[in-house]
Amino acid sequence: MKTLLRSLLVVGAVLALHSLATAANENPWATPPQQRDYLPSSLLFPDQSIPLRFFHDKHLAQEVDCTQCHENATTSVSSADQLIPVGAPGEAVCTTCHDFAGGAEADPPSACATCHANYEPAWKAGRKADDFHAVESAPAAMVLPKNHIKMNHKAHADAGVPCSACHGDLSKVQVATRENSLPVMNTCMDCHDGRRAPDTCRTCHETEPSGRLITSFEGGKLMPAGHFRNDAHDDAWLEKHASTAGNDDQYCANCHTEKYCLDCHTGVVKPFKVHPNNWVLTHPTHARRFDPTCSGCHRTQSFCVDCHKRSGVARASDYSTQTGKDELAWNTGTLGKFHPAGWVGDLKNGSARGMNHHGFQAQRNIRACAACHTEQTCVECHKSQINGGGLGINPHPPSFGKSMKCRSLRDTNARMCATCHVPVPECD
Amino acid sequence: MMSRTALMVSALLLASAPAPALDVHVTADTVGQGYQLITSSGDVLRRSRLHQFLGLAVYDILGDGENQLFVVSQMRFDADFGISDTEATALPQLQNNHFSLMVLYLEARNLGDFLDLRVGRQLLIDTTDFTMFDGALLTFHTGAHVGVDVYSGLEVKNGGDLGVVSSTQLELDGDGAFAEDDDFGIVIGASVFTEGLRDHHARLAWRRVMTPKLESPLGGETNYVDMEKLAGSYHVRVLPELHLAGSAAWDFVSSVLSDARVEARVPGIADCVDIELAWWYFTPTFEGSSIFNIFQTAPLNDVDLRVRYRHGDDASVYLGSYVRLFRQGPDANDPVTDAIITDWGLRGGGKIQLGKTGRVGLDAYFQTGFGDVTTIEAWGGYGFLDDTLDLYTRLSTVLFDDDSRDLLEGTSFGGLVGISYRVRELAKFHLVNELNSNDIEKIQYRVYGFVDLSFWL
Repeated sequence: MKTLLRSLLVVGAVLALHSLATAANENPWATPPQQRDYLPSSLLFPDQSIPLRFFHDKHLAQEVDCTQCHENATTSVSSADQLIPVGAPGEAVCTTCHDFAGGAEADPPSACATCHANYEPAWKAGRKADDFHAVESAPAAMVLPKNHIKMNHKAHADAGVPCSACHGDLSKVQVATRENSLPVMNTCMDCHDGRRAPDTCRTCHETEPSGRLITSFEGGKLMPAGHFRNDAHDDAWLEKHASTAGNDDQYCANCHTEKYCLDCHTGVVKPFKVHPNNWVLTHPTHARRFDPTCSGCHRTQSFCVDCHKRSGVARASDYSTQTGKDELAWNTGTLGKFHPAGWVGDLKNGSARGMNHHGFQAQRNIRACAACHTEQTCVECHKSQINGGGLGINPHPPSFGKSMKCRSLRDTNARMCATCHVPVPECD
Repeated sequence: MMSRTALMVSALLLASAPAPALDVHVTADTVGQGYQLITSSGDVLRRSRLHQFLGLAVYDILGDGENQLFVVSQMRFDADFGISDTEATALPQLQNNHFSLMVLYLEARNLGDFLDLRVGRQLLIDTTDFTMFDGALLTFHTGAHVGVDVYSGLEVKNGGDLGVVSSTQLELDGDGAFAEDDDFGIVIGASVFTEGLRDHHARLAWRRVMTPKLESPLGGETNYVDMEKLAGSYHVRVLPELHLAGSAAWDFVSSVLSDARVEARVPGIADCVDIELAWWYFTPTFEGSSIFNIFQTAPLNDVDLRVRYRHGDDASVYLGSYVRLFRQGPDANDPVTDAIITDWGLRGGGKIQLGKTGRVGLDAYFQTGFGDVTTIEAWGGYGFLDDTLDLYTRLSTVLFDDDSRDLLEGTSFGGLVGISYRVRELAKFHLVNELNSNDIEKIQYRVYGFVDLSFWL
């Protein structure tokens, strides 16, 4: 218990430090995001640093047009284009209105610290009056890493899409950041609905030549977050991905190849993310409990039965005969009997079945039976006595002959019936 | 079988004749495993396996940058040096030195702005189930938010020269593999699905797998139906904070509802809490010719609840529980017994991202049913040298106790340490060591080696 408490304290401390570190990096002029369901991906838009004091709201109130500062915003065809005024060329854009020589007294104010908050320039000796970059140390620079979204601003502008459709209402924003003004997928899909604009993943996401999305980035793996489908690759994903894939396998194919699926679903190589260590020993306790997901990767009548025969867990007279190995160690007493007492009831005497009777176990989890036994094991007792040559112990549910199940089984595949019944009888 | 495959390969090779500006992708994964198992009679079974995967794909055959025509293939070669020829003969599933053609198809997209065509060996997943078949899949895009898939072909079986060994979904379960199950399986199916709808995702699928005309015990000849299902699924994003999903599959062979699921998901409450509630109904069904279909089987009923707390993008914890109900019902010999059996389980865990390349996590679950099982797994890893060198580990403890089997009781420990080295995006080398301890084998050591290559020509 002490260890557990200590571990929890460590986890708490890590989370607290992380929160503090995040808070310390925040720009006080960065307007918090408003009314956003979620924030843009840090993988697609890597962490930025914008150490500026800037007021989009004031600029827009002065009816400064977006393109006055973001000059190439309506002509850019690539997301790699730099549309934000940065460095000396960027400041040249500012000088359209800001008189740097006038400093803080100018209108609008144009001192270094007007935008580079708390920055006091130390001028190099003998600087020229108009050389504003002759400083001993430059203010903190903006860091705007390349993003990983395909974006053709020109196409959007030509289609009449206003800047605010993607970047929101900047008249309420001071410093625009990833969090408050870069679009999220929801924003894109308002228009990219497959009719007004293409809605394929590759329309916006970077792709390989195969058309599959590039998902490996410096900061990690790009994965769905579950905003639009049940596709969040979270702690429950392994259990629930079948529903999403069954609904639309081509959606999965946007990122995954067939091999990715088959790596697990052919059951050849143990996927470490699926089974815990020592799985061979502990898997019976899971399989017995009826875990339907086993059959998602393992075919009972081949994968399970054959390994069980080889390892002496299952009946294997054919295997033993051919290989000369001992048959059925469980029944020879080497390790005890596999099935519990009461497994085969004395039905001939009409006694009720105990809770350990194999009939109940089969009702509950017939796949567990099929993991060790082929049909021949069942047939030995359950085959019809009349012309079938078996013991005639009826394995069917009550009123089976009158059921729709009987009719459909007989109509669709009567050779199953012929395994025990010769000739195949009519359903009642 | 061979002639069919040869014809298919030839057709695809012809179709992929030289063209300008091809994008050729090669993947080659090698997996080696070495360990020993103790059988129930005390014998030692050697596992010395080698799996070699080879993927070859040619994209954008037309060379126009639109990737409208491409060929994809995936092959695998399996060898198990721990299996004798005698054993492999006795159990065909264990055969070694086997080549499997897993995928080989030619795909043309956007023909006439409305049609996609895929021809060859392909994996198909829809609401009914998996299947793998040699044949053709046509996808029609109506442009009105509805698409239609139509497909037909021959089921890929385990056996045969280019069959796929160790498969599950590739062939229906029920009959023994290989010799007992050599009939061709004719696969036909269709589905209607939504496309281009942000908040609605639906599919209605039908599939039948059947034999060619064969002699029937009822007289004359018939196509035996091995599988026929109609299944539908629907997901709707009612609100960003409320998703509903449901699916159901009807099995025509057994006339049972084989699978039904309903799920409600409430993500992002206060930006940090997710709640998921699901119900799952499942009745096992088998290949139509299997007598496993005729027994009294009680469907599984699961109700599953999970709550997750996310602390930003870097940390999360979850807690969950489930209740499982089984009916222990009467059969023809025992019309009296009728009871409901209840199992349940708890689970919990969490993970923390440490910097860009570090991660630690813990998963634990407890389950009842035939005794109790508690599994605890702790895992973690860290990437060094710009994440090119990754060191990872996992520790597992399983406490298990089967009520009716004395031997299935005890505590199992396992530890795994792996290291991987990545050379850009071209190659990745793994070495994994697993050390286990349990009552049957005090020490069991396993070693796995992986080499993954992936490059464009």
